Amino acid sequence: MNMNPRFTAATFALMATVAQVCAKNVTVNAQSADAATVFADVVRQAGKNYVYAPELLKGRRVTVKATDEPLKKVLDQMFSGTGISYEIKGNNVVLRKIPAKRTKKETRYVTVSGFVREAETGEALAGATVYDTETRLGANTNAQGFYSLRLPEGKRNLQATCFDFLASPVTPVTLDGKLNLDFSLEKSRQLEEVVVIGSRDRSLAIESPEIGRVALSASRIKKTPVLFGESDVTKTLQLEPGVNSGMEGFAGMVVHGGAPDENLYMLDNVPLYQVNHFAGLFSAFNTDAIRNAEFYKMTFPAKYDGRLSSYLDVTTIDGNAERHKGIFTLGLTSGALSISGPIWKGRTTYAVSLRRSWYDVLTIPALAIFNSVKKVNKDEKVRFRYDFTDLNAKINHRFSDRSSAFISVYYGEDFITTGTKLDQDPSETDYCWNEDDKTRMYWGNIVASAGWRYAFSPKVFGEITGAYSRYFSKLSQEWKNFIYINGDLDETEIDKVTSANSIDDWIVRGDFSWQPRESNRVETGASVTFHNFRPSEMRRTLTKNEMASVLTDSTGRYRAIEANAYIGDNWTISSKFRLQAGVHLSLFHIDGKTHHGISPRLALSWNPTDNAAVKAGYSRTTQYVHQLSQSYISLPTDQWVPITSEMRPQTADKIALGGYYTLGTDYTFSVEGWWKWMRNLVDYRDEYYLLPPQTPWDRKLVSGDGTAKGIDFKIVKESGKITGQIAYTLMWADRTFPLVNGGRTFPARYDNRHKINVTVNWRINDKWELNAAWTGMSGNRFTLPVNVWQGIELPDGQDKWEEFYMNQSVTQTPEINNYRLPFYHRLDLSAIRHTHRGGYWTFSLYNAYCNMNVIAVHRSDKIDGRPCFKKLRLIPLIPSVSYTWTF
Amino acid sequence: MDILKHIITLSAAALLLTGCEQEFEPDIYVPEALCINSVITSGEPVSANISHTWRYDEDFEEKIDCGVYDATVTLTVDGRPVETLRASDSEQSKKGSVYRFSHIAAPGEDITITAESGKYGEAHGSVIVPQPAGNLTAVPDFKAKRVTGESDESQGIVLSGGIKATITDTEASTDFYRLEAKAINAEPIGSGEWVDVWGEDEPVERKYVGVLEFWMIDKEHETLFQEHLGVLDVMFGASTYGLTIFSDRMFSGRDYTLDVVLREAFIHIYNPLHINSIYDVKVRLTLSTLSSSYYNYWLSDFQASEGFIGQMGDLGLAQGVNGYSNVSTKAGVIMAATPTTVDVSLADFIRTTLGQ
Repeated sequence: MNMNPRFTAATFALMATVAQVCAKNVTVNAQSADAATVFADVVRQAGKNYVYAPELLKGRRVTVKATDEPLKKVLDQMFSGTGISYEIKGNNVVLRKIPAKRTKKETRYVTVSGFVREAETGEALAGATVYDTETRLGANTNAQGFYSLRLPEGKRNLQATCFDFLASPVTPVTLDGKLNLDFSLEKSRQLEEVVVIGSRDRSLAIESPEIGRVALSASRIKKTPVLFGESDVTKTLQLEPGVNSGMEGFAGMVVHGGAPDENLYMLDNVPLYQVNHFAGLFSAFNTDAIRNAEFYKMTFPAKYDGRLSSYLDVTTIDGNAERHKGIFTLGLTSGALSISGPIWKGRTTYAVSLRRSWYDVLTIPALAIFNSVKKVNKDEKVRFRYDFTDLNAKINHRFSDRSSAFISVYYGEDFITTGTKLDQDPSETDYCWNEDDKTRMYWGNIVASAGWRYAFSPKVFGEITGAYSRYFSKLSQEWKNFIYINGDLDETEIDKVTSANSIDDWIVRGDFSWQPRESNRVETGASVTFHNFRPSEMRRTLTKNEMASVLTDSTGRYRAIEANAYIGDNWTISSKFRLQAGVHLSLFHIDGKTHHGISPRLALSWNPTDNAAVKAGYSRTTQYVHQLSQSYISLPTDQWVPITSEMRPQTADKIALGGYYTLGTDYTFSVEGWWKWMRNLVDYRDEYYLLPPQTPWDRKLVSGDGTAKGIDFKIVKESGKITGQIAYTLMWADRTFPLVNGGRTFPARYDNRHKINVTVNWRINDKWELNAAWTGMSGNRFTLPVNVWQGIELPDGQDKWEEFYMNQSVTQTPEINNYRLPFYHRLDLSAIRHTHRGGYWTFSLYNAYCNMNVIAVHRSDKIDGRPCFKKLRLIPLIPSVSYTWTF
Repeated sequence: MDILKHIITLSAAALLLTGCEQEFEPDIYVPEALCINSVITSGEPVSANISHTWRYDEDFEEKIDCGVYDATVTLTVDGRPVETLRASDSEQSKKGSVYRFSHIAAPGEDITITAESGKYGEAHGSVIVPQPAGNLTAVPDFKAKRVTGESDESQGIVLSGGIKATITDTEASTDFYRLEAKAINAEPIGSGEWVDVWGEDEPVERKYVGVLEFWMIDKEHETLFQEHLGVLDVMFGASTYGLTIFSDRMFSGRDYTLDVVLREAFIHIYNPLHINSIYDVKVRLTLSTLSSSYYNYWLSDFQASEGFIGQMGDLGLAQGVNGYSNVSTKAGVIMAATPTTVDVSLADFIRTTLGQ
């Protein structure tokens, strides 16, 4: 063995000096002293020799304090965490350098967990980031504001950031065990000097493997200029690439060439079926009640399944934990009041939001005037009333830093009544009749839920929810006709029609997140839903002179049990690679048959540089319920129906590839390509209307396939005085059904080839903000019959009805969706004026340059009765104003 | 009240501004195709009308000539060509050329009509002539709602109720029916001009009559006449008016008694001499079995005109309803019917009501 001469000399010198002194305690008091000197001193005091390579302690300084302590204890103190180990062999103390691999393995990690909340209200902040400023290791908060972060032990500097909020002060902590640390963030109010560290879009684009995810806050939703100034989460999402509004003013949201019923809307983890007010003009989500919303349209976390196209997960506010606060908004069409505050300060909060439309208030005097001034048929009175209401109420109680519970209720309803009443005096003429015609419709959702959130450990967070969700729709019509001859009642006819459909869901679910390592976060959960579908129950009772006939037209009730379980892992493989993988399993038991779905999910991202990412993903989704609509607009008579034993669940397989680049802190560029294959889609078969109404609804349907493909581009500017985004989508979508269009492939209704959205928000100063949103897109597809043929001329002996309709032109069956509506475009503007009283005015112009877009085409007649094709244009420039007062 | 005028003016202006319609010419063109229409009745010669389709916005009354002047039409029965007619054999008009074959249709025949035109191509379609109804019996079930008239000699009876007609359905595949009612009145007796019996002047000569008048079958009184009517259709204003077509879906292979109520039925009797034959007033019920194409065609016509889907389609808010066609070009319909009749006498009812 070749020995270093210096090493050998030193060793033997020391051995000679201390060999006789054994097992003695040592006393030392060194502050950042030379390690070699201190080591030599303590070993000497212990009466032992030492062996080590001199370079091992060269330049190293130690702090150690001991009074008459055993040598082992002092050495532990000296070399803990230094990468040096010692061994006492007989009378010798040997120092060794711990191999690099062992050093890493023995580095202790400590879990830091807690909540990030808004300082002013105590509301949890979802999507906030907590990170160590030195190592840059960090974690995001979940929807309840909870984070869990594993860091190497030692001194760390932690900071929390969230978009729209000022970064927290850097908090120095010494990590030597589990740490619970909460952050409170102040809302950003500055302008160009705003200090916002972390960008929501940048974070989603670069630091997340997900493709096509959008995170929205209530403030961002409120900045979107919309019709009647009614801010709306779905209208904001319609500015995203690949998302459009379906039929303007009449339908919900359509994502990537899908159908409106392929989007799952969740309110506090509970699915909502009816999300439209006023035929789709407004959504059921009151912005004042929203804390945040997450939207997924390409790759989906394992948690979500049940719809093919997209998932919108809306979390409502818990309530202000510090003081009672309120927001009151008065607009042209509706008013909203939202109040929240502490019931038991620091423990229990409440939040109540009520929104109600004013249409009925406006129409009452208008109708009274109309009925009083009209000159034709003065005895006839016209009735009309429409209103919608949303109520969100929530009580949240915090048992401890780790445990909280909530009770939440949502009630949303549309109500419309219309009719006429003819009330003539029978004694005035020999023959007269009176009529009373009344139609009432109401539809909506009730959701009641209760949940318990618990941080089982700094690594495990869970939420257990129990909920009841009811969708209901009822329509009743009553027509009474009384015929009088010579003042006496001669005939009575009463025609009463009712239609009802509903879904009752009882839901129990548990969702958990577990962070076993700093690089892994596992999301898992399970749920069971008991469905009770009543798709359609219709009844007509016709009574003529006390003889009644009854016609029922019912689909019956369907009970189904749906069970879901999922597990997914967010794995930061390295600083350049991230992976999100998981699977969602589902069972749907109906009619004695159990359908199942296995929906794997995968998303992978690679960061070639700090400001660029390339992602790829695959998702399968499975859908067991769908909405049957015979028209293009959203009506209360539309039925939600489950698949039956004869049908197979709808599935969609989607692959996506994305590229992302950020330029400084301001700009984020993204391009996302996607391809979607849909199986077992459901649609009405050709000429289904020739089947008797009593025919079971599933026999009127047919299953088929569809494909959609396209590219989404987006440029976002998130900070500075002027922010905004430009989005563009290029897309193709088609459908193939064996019994539709003769089995030939046809373009999907929402096969909008091009779609462009430009959004600009300009915060001019403390008082004024200007917002603009321009939308342009290829028109929807329409089925327009172009040719006709000569109808049948019947032989003699036909009755009056047939004579009337004889010899008319008859529609020749056209190709489905054979016509594309003209290019759709409009500009919406809004200006927000903040007042010194804490409120603000919102002035908005919907369709600012008054381009009345074509929403439908149809066959019609000219004034002189000659046939022609007509475009139906809707919604001109509509100005509106609203005032929001916060108190 | 000036302020009210302004409010109404503004409201009307707002309504007008929120929507408008505009004529346009869609940039899609579908070639014109041959159309075959044929209504075949058992026991009668077969005929077919051959025309062509046209673009909807071309004005039929003013400009369109949908006649086809070069078509050769072949009639095939049970797979055997039985007759071919050329254009020169047809009765031509702007509304199509009528080809009259000599073949008499019989129940059970499978009839195919094929038309070929140099200009519009080829079209063909088939129908099976339905078998007659298994059995049809009918009994009167009228009630006298009121008896009018100032003398025993000239009286009127306002009727309620109608006829109970029983069908025996065959158990085979779905059958389709159509029911019609017609008044068969007694032959008038006497000569000379009829004179208003309530008039002041005594007539020299009289005409003794028994006349039944009614408007139509009350379709809303019989469930079967409403089987095509969805509750949603009713809600949007559809009625059964005029359609007494139904299927045996609710009574397949069984007897079913139809409640045939005649609306606004009235019998006028002028019979001072109490001549028996004057009371011989009847209702003739004709029950036709129909081919499915007959049923579907009229159902599509009903749905297009009255049904919810048709109405929404007219507004451009739904896909709409297309005319049913069993012709290869999806233009035209070949349908067949086999009628069965039964007469229901009201003589006893009239005598009883009038106490004769």
